[in-house]
Amino acid sequence: MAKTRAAVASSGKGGGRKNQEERAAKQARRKAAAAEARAAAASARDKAERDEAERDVERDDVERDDVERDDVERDDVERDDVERDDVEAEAERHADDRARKKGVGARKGAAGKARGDATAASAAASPAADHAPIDERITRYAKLGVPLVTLGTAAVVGITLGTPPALLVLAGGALVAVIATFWASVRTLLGETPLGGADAYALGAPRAEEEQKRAVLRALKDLEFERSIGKISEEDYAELVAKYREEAKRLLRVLDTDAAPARRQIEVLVARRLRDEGLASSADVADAEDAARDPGAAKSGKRERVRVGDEELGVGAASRWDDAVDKMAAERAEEEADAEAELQRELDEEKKTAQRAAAEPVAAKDELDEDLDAPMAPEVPAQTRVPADIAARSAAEDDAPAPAPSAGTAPTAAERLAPAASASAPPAATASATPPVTASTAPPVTASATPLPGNGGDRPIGGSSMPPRIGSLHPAPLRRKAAGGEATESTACAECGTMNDADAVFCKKCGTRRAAAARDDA
Amino acid sequence: MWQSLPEFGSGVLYAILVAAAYTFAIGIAAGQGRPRLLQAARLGMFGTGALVALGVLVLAYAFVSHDFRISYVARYSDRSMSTPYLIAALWGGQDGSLLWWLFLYTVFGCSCVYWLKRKYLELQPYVIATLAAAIAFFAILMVFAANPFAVGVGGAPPDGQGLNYQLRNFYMIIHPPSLYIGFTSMVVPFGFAVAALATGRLDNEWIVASRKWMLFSWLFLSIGNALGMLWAYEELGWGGYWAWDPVENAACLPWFTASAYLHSIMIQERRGMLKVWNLVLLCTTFFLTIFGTFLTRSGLIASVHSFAQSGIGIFFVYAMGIIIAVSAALIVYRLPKLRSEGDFESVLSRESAFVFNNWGLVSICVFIAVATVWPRVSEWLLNQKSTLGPTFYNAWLPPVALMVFALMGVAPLLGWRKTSPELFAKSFRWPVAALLLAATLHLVLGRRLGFPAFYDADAIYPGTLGTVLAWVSSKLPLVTTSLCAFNVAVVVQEFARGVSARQKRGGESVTTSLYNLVAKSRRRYGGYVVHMGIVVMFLGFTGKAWGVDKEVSMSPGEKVQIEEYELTYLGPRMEVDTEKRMVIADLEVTRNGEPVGRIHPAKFIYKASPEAPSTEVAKHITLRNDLYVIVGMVSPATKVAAFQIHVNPLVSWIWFGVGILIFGALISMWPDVSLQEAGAFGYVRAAASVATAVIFAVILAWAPSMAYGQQPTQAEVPGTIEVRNDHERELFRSLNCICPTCPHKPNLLDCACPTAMNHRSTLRAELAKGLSVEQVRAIYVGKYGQEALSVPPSEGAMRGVWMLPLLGIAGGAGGVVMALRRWRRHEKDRTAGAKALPKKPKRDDYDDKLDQELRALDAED
Repeated sequence: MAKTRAAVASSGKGGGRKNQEERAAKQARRKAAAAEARAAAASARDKAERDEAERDVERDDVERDDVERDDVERDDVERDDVERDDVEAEAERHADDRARKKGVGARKGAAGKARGDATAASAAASPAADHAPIDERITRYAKLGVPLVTLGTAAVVGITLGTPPALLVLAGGALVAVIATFWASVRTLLGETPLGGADAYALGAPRAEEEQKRAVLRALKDLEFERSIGKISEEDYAELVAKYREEAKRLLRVLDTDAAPARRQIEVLVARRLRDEGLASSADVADAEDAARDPGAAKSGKRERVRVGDEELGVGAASRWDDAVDKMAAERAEEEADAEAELQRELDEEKKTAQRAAAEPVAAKDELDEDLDAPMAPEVPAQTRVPADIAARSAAEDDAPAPAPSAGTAPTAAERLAPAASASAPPAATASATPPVTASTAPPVTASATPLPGNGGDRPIGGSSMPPRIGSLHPAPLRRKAAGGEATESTACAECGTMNDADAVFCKKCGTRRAAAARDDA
Repeated sequence: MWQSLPEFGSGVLYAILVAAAYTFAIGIAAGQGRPRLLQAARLGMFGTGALVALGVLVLAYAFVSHDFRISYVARYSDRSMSTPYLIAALWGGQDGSLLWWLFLYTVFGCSCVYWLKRKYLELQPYVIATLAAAIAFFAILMVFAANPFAVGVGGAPPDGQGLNYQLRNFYMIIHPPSLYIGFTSMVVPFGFAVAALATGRLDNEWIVASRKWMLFSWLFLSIGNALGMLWAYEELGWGGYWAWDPVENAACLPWFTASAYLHSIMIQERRGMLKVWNLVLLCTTFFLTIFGTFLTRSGLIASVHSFAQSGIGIFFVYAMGIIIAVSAALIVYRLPKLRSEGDFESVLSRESAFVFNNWGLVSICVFIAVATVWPRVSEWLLNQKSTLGPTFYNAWLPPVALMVFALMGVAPLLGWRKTSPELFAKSFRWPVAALLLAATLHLVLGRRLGFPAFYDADAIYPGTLGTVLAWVSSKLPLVTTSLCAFNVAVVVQEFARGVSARQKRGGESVTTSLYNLVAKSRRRYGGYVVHMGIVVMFLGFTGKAWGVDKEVSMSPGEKVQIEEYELTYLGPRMEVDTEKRMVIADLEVTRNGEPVGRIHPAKFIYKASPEAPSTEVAKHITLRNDLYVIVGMVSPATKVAAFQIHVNPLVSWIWFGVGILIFGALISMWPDVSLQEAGAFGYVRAAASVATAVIFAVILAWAPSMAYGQQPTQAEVPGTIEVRNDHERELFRSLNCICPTCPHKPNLLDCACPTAMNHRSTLRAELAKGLSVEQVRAIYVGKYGQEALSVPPSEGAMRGVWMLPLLGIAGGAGGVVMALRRWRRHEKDRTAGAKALPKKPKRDDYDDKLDQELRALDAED
């Protein structure tokens, strides 16, 4: 699962996102069977880890979801949806099958774990789709699936049965397309589909000054060309060039003024990132923040817009659209705040659940024992059977003597996922100050408030309008390093011999859970 | 369900109407600044497109399953037709072709919406609304007046009537669908114009957005009209390529306004001027596409192209009224924002040349439009029937066309704003030299080469007016060839200067410079290539002046000499296939004594309609001229055959010119690609997109190529034309054939129908009695009325046919001159004010930034 998570995380790093997602999906599918076997032997700690990982994935999903909203073409998502469904269906089928054979006790572990894997894998394939309601997914399928299926069927029918039935098939496909398209249209009309802040900003029409600037630049180039071919006298050329340059400079000033707030925000982001990477100091960040602090913008909480001379420029005011965009951004920010609060509530409840579990150690131990005692290899379905030695090793790893948590309770997700931080930082800091993946400071769902790694986790960056493009999707080991300092040593995987970082939970090549990690967790 | 297929199809039409109305409403609402609704409107457009596709598929299914309950299916198909013909019959009649028109609208609408994505977001809602409105109109038309799914009153017949065999050929069809594409795609630029007016974003944004669409429409209008000429030349069998038929005229009207628009937007882009004029031109162009459709389908004007008369005309009248009202209202509403940002500074400027060019193109358009509707107008207002044939147009239009032709060469030589005398002299030096040289060579060598500088033109009117027109016409060959030389020199000079300038800047080879020059200014140099194509076409048009016709009857073994050709009649033969008998006359041809082979003019007599045999033209094509032979009657007993022989000089040049024109248009349309940004893949993508667009368009044009609802033409009826002397030629040219089978009333010199033969015999007999041409003409007109005259008499109210357009043209010229004077005065005032300003502003940081932007633009280029 963690491998899947790592794939998910790495896939969200920006460039080559699509390919990475495809690779992640394939990798997830390949590992689904192994994950299922491990799931059967998983302990309550694994369950907690899975929950945390799911949250992690969810967070990444949301972040990437926002990034993906910029993309009008969702073909890749559709393709990934198909793969995700395959993975999910396969994993669930296997899990249910195993659970049926193993009984109720096993179902809790295997099915839940396998579903978790499947969810993570599916999220790797298509993060946005995980949250999409069924009707939206159907609409999405219809966009690509209906034409393909229709054309394919029509071709086959045309060859085998003749033209009239083929035309009927095509007509049927057209009818389905009509229904799907109008369904989507009406749902959009009624506000049942998301239109994120990024969308709203993307909907901002290009400024008229930008168009004018382009025209003036083009005119200057034409003048230069005409001069080069002797179509214009030097005197006229000089006069015209002066005139056009003045106009171009005026437009550049207007555009610069308009872009200044956004530029300052970007400078703040860059400064923070550089600081996090150790390439800039906090003083630089403070300078950038000071520069970005604009009383007018801060008060209104809206995108600053410089309305210089629509009248003066002789262009249409055309501000209705901008107002609408601002309004949508505000709505989006409100939704994000609600989502953040909701997530916080969930996390609180989870904490409480963990505390209750700590209060009932005996019952939990019994359940764990039941799971661990269940026979493994004979019950694995043939098509997903894991080699006995791997299963045994997996079980052995989980059974390996490890120092029990201090009070005999399952560790929190924060403790497990940031062992290095736990080791190097004071214990009190792990829950509240360890960035960015601790349970208590789990990043908000919204894009705008997603913390950058190492920024403390409690400082939303860039206000409600900034899409989370930077640094939000590190692989888990990298996050550990970022949180807890440098990796100090590398160790060989017992299974394949690959050298891994000392704090890596799973082998980066074969995905085997490392005993050292288990000990760390313990 | 199959029991109710017609009802289902009708239901789809209703659904299209509802869907288009929904999309229209959502589009309008989205324009109020609600981005969510825009997405809904986009989806609505796609859904409407899918619905129209569904309608087309249902009708296609009805055809291939022989559902003769549907009246349209019963009228245009039968059980013997193969599947391709059954599918093609879908467009064979009026109702189906309207559905096809609607389908094209939605194809272009959906393509535009898909292409727009997140571009031009403020314009988008109104573009979508306009497209939806156009679709809704055609849906209304079909639901209430021309439902292709309507059920026959008498129930389903056992078999259908079948598709007219005459419609089953390539040339009868290929040009109308091309025009369809040109016509229907014009809705997209119109949508942008309406959107710009509705939103008030009236700077260059909408022009840039619609430019490629406009070029696409213009290209297909050009191709459609050119194919129309080719079709007429190949199929009609009267030796010409443009008959000035009302529907041909209607098809070329939007081409003129679109051409004017493509030139005048350059002034707006460069100088921020002519904003109102550009909007008027674009709205007019779209209006003319509807007007052309109205002419074709309303039955208002008789034409060889007309569909059967129907009740849909009134719907088109409403639509045209709405287009005019909405366009005018929006333009008037936005007038304050449509003020020019600059002024004309000199008559010797490119702006002025473009304005005059616009005036010329619009003048031609107005002239043709007035002449096209004149017969109906004269009937309504003057109670006088009249017909305007090629004689009229050929006498009046060439001078105006040549003026535009001259401006075409002059404009590129002038600089923007003003041209100094030195530059003027420098620019015009070589082109004028070329003009003079060509004129001299033509005068000296023309006659010797068989292309004399002057020819004898007939006066179309008695008196001074006729004499003047004839005198002008007689000089046209010299003027045309001289202007062709001038235009070629201009284009060559422009390329040479560009290449030279590039070579001076960097050490490029000539080839590289030429390539880069075109690649970096595609619109400019693509336009020059288009100009070159037009030059070549004009040369081809001029060939008409030197054409030679001959009508002969020959027995096997006899010979006839025409120009450099000698034809030997070998005899007739007959071949038979399943649907027709073919009577073929074999002719041996030599040119300048050298054998060039055999040609085989023929008559095809179809079993289904033996009373209307079709003419198969035989041609021997060379660059210099075409030998064009038609066989009339062939006597089975004596084997004597009547031939009509034409030698048409330089016709091939027209088709070459069209090819060059298309090539130039494609250069101009080539998408912007930045190698720096996109790498080689960008060029692949650009090539793929252009190829896809062209292939798609060709497929659209080709798809219905086997069927089109036209009436048989005069070329498909038997007979030949015999002219024995110049008196007969003059008389026949001035009179029209009056018979029910020739709805567009060709003149007796061109019409080969049996009635025309009888008319000619009668008139010949009258001349033989010693009567003068005028007397015989008076007798004929007395018998058949004024409409028997190929050119209405220049007397009384009938003078309006040429006076009205001329007044319009003169008024336009006056308006142009006044406007230039006014603009010039403004500019003087402004210049006087500007001189008070400091001449050299200080250089600041923004100068550096501007230089950086200009360098970036260089890199993009």
